[in-house]
Amino acid sequence: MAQVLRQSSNISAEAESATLAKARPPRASTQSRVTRRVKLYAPAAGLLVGLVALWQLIAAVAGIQSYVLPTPSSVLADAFGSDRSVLLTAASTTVIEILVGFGIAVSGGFVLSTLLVHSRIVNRAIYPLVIASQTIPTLAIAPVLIIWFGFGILPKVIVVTLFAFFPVVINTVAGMSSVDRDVIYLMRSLGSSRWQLFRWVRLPACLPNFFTGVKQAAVISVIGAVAGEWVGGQSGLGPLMIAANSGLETAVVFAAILYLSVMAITMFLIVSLVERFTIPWYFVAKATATTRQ
Amino acid sequence: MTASGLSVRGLDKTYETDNGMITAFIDVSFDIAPGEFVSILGPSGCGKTTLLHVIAGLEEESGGVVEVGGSRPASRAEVFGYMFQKDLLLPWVRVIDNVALGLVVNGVDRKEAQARSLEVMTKYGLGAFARAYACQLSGGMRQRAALIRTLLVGRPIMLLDEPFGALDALTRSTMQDWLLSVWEGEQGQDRRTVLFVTHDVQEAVFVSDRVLVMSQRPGRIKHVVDIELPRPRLRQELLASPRFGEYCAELLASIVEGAGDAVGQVH
Repeated sequence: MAQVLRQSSNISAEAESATLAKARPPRASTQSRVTRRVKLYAPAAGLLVGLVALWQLIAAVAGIQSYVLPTPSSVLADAFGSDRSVLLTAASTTVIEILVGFGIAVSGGFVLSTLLVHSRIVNRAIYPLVIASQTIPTLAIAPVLIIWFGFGILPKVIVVTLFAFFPVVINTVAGMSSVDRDVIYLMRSLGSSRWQLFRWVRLPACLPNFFTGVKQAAVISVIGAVAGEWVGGQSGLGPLMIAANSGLETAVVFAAILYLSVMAITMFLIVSLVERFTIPWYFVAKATATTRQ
Repeated sequence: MTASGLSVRGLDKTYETDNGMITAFIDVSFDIAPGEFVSILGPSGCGKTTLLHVIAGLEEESGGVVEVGGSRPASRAEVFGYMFQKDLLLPWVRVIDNVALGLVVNGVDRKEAQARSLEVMTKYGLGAFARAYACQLSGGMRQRAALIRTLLVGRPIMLLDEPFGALDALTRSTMQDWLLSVWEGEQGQDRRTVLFVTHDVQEAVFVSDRVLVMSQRPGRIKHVVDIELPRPRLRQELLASPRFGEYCAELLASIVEGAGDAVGQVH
């Protein structure tokens, strides 16, 4: 390959090796993958374990009432022990609200973003409403939704969707509209149609932003579902937490929080995984940009 | 694909800004014969990029006529191949798909476009980087990929907007040699017509058959110099030849004359 380069373009030897060096992807480190993974996650894991150990110590030894600060062991017992069926049933209701609301928010949000970017009049009409939608307090809207749609799952799904679609739209619109004008000129100079411009430029360009929005939406969906349940729900982890709180079963409350955290983290990780598969180029570009410095 | 001639008559461009109406260029007229390599030389900000945008149809002219092969083209994208100062390779596809982009946009099947791209890339030393992403290539290689992308679409007239302006001096010389070898490699009627924009006097003399000097904004063609140097242009010989130096001196004088008034103007 070095010969081909030299013959066809008369590059000097130094320029050529500099060129070759830049063209190779960043070299893998000499550490094994396992070692690197351990180094990456060990600090967080260590801190977590340390805090939990400290908590266990304080709660068990300092003579604090179990309804003020339950021990981690009692929380884990409630969460995963033999009595966990109540929590699991509640969680299954909440999880459906989260996933359905999230799904609608992400797909609907993406479609809405595309419309907003491609039509100025739609943009002017709807974008302000998108922002205004976030100012509606849950406490106000949830009871109204229950009056309209009953006590079933629908009002909570609507609340989740309402919260979750906002970061998706804001981020995706920013990504689609921040395309370099020269790239648009390039596509026009090649004779591209508006659809081709979307398919080759605006769509791939917005994906990193889109995924940022989806990650935010994932986390908000979890909080949104619980908030919706608190204000007008009879089933799910929200009402369960309220009931447990009234009955001074603080360990159950903590267990419910643990379940919710696991849901949020799992969703976040799944989105990150999908991101890795969908936009591998983004991570290559980031890696190259940082190693260059 | 046979090369075509380009005629521009009385072209001007004025546009509105917050500071009022600005005239980018006014009453620009010239003729380029098929297969000729012509440069437009002018200082930064004189409107030469805007002129190229207007000719290519990326911006609309305020007045005047652009004719290709004697008539107004129905679609500018079908007669002009454009190369920008930035390589504008898309970060989300691999280099080979970037190079194939022009073909794919024009309806060529993706596999075939990739095959054609790979052929030309290999010919010019980029074959090994087909599967890489643009960010992994150096500036010179990216510009070469960008030029191949434009060449593959096969338009009869090439508009090159300071394509090597963002490269370092050494790479720039290499790229000039390379561009000329590619252009001269096209035989007879296939040899394309080229309109090349630059602010670099030596570059203009080195590559062109003729140089049009553009004045400060509002730009107009104020001087034309025919470059009678033999082809192929051999860098070592040319740099040592007195004629080369004379052309450079003449063009530099032409740019500088009247530029004194422009000093202190805000662009």
